[in-house]
Amino acid sequence: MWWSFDKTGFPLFSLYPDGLQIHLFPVTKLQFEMFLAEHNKYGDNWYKEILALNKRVSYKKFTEKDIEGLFITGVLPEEAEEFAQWLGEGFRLPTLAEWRGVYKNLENKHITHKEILYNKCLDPRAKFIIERLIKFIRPSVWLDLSLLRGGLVEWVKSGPAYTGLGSPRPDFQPNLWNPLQDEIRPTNSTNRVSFFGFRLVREVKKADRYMNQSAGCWEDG
Amino acid sequence: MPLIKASGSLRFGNDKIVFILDASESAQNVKENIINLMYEILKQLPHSSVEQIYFLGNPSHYDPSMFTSRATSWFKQNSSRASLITPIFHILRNREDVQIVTIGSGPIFDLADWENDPILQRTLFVCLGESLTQGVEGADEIKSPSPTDLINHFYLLPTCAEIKGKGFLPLLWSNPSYRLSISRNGEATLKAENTTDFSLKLVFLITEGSEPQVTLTYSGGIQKSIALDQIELCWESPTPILLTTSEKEIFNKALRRESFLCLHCGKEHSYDTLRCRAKGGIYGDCIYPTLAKEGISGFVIFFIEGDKVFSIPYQSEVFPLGNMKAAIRKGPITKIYAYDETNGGWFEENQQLPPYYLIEEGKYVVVF
Repeated sequence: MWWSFDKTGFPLFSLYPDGLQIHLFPVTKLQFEMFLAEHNKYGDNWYKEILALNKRVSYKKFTEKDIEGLFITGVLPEEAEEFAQWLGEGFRLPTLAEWRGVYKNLENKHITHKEILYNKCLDPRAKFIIERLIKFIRPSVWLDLSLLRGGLVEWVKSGPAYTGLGSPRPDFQPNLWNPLQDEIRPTNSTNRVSFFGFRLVREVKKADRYMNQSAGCWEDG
Repeated sequence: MPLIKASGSLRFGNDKIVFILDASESAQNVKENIINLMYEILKQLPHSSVEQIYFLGNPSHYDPSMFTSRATSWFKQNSSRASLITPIFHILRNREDVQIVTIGSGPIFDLADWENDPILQRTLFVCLGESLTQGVEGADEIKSPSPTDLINHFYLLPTCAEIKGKGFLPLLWSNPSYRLSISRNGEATLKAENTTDFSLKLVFLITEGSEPQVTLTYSGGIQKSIALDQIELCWESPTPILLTTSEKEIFNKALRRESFLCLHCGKEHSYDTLRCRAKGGIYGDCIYPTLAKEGISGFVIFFIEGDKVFSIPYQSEVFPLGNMKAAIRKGPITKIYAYDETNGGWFEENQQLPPYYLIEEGKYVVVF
């Protein structure tokens, strides 16, 4: 796996050297709050509505029972796209095919080494979260550590529309969804749904990859 | 236990203050209260002590001197901000010289991420409506204080500060408000009262392994003990003054206990004469005209270098003589004190400091 970092210091990976990069985790409340601080558009009333759906849990204190509290949920796809624009050039929601492609690839990809934890570009809070997730989930494959399985339902693009893919753990959201077959859509496109979050992808050109290498924030692993 | 030399400092009221104000939607109903409280606080605090103003959710800072004229527009600019403190705490995290006062209403969403962080020890939360801290551990919150109570909460000055300790004897200190006294049982105390500036840097002697105790007394008799900040002090020494050839002759004769011809009155004086009263005045003129010209009084070190003699004024009431002895000036009288290890105190020897007291080879101290 090849690693890089977004401007919040949270990791992305790709399965091929010049492949599409994808966030290791769904976007966290920590990252989204950095966006809120720079954006000056989404105030207390908006955030209270979001947090009423999925209570905020401090990254220092989350347990195996409230992992989902780390991640931003209840956002609408347009709000996720706005976050993507803020994060930087090339960031966007994955397509349905891209999300499923990563899912299939990670199903049998065993976690053999965790050098990502020691990269200097990794935000210390992200490192703390990864270490704690490893401790709680005890994942053997990347599919579980990435929370593509057992995480949230995540917004993806399906043609011009948005849909949701994922299979949350039953304690968080009871379901029998198979993300490789089922799509989940809210009954109303303006409804905020407590278990809908998102992660982003970024397409990297060859030139950018070399730029990242020189910045010391790219690892081949 | 032997005595060692150490240095330390006390800081008071020199801390800068940073305010974080809540202009968010949750604080809209107390916005006028926040603004009025800030007006009153800024009137009462020294201008130089308030460094910056921030707003929750916004990492940019604002100039406190513009608050009176710009408060309304600043609040409007920041009214769409979410109640987040991390953007500001990240900036102030390593500023240990800064006290932070956060004023607002309604929960700060990300405060739990800072639970038990050292920055909370220098942050005060002022709630004018709904709690800001929501029970986060280590977050100190007060509710609807008056401006004066609030200022006293984070800007309280003592009425008295005392420093003492086992074997403690201050040698040099920066703040003249502090006075040295030695009790009958040999305990030396450096004390300041009824001043607005208790800040201090000092060099002192103390028994090895001991620490000086600092006791602060506040109005109402409340006392608090704190520690000196340990610092490496480099006390700047004045430029040595070269004695003239005639002055050098006086110096050499004094060392030999020989009388000398005074450069002021032309008459003979005994070796231990330090001031000539021929021209009148309470104290007379220093027998070394070069030093008289500089208006030097108190301790002066003379040292010989080759065929030259230099003098350096030593600006302190206390002069360390070595061998656990010190000369201490009290007005016109300078007495020698010795440290008694058995009793752990400084006791007066029955002698005043003689002129041209030998400190080490080629080095002497005189008190004018």
